[in-house]
Amino acid sequence: MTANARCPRPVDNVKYRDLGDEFLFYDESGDRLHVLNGSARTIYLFCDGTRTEEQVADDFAMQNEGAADARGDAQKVIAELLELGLLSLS
Amino acid sequence: MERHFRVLDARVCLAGPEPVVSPIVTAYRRFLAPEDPAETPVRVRIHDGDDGKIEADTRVVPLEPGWDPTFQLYQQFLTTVLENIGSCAVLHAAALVDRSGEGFLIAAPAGHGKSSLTLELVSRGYALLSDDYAPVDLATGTLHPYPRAVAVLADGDAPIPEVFRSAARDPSVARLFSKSLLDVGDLLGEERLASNPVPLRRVILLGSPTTGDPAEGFTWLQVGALRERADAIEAGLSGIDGVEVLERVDGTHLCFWKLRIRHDRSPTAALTRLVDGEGALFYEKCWATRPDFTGAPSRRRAGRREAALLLGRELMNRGVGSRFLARHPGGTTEILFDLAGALRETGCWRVSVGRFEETADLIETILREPA
Repeated sequence: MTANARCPRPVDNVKYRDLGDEFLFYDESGDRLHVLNGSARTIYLFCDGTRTEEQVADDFAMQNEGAADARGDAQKVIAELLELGLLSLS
Repeated sequence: MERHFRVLDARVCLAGPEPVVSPIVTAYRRFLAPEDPAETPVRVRIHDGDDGKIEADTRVVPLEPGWDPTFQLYQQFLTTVLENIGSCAVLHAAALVDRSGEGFLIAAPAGHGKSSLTLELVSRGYALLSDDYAPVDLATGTLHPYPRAVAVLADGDAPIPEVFRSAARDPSVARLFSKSLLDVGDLLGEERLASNPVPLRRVILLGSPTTGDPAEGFTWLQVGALRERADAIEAGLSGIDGVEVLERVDGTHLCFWKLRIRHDRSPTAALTRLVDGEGALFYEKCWATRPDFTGAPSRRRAGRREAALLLGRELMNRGVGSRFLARHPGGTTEILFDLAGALRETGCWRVSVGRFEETADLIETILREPA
């Protein structure tokens, strides 16, 4: 199975709050808050473990037709959320 | 005189000479509770006289000569109560119940008309949960009552409904710091005083163009501490970027500073650690300029995280050693996270105050709209 076939999903045991317009994550180890604004929140919600990264990017781009580089933005957000440990690949 | 109080999950016993203690008992009448042999309350006791002191839990604070002893006792009583409330975040805000039975907060820096607007809304039929301290259960987003008597300056220039002003002028009414203590339930009927928790649905944050956006610009703060800690505090203050000491006044036992805080330097966390860690006895926000009440009020929607940040600055029971802070090992960051989460079902607005009646009308308009 290649990396692209794996599906990003939320990491368990991460404290989060969905404020509707934003997502907040509390990083206990660093005593920090991570904030996902509207677009990033949408991308995060697409990452439910049933879509590959490509599919998430496609779905986000479809929802944001006309946006300059929606697929690219989605891929960057997913990469960043994986780096931060808020998503994992399964 | 000795009286026992239950304030949410805090159990406090207050004792001292009756003339000193009784105004506080009047203000907190609705929190009186019978002594319970199964519970050990935290004790606050004043010993007046030449070597007077206040024993508040484990603190001993000398009485400052020339100062109203009731004022000093009240500061320690309030500090002790807040330190021992662990179940809720106590916000410096008014809380009322709208016509559909849901709760809303009005938060504002001092001098922006929060108390006047609160009394105006009560006179228009909204039930009062609290005029100054709003306990919020962060896990459930529930607003709890805090039915302390409302303190009204009878001949002040703040616009307040005539029913309150007339009652405040009654010479038989108890007074605390020259303000008349009025019980809304006694004055307008028990139905005007909300006694049950309600879901929090709206947050209204008052501001003014002349005092700047509270999220930016400056805040002025008064801090009081024991003189023996003054040098350590002052050395610490000078090391915090964004904190400017405008004035220092030394009393016999206490020392007071007036500070100017620049929010763009984010000094709040460091300042809080310093004043809490060095045992400041109290701090209070004040404003250098008054809001403009002559123009038309306006409003805009606010984000929930934005509202949480502003409300978090008005959190009364997060001091070092407090039970509430002990429940949040992650400190103020974790508290902010939970506070934002408690607002997930709320609508939040920034209201720029203007002419009084119009500002109250604008708040009512907000209350009629979907959250």
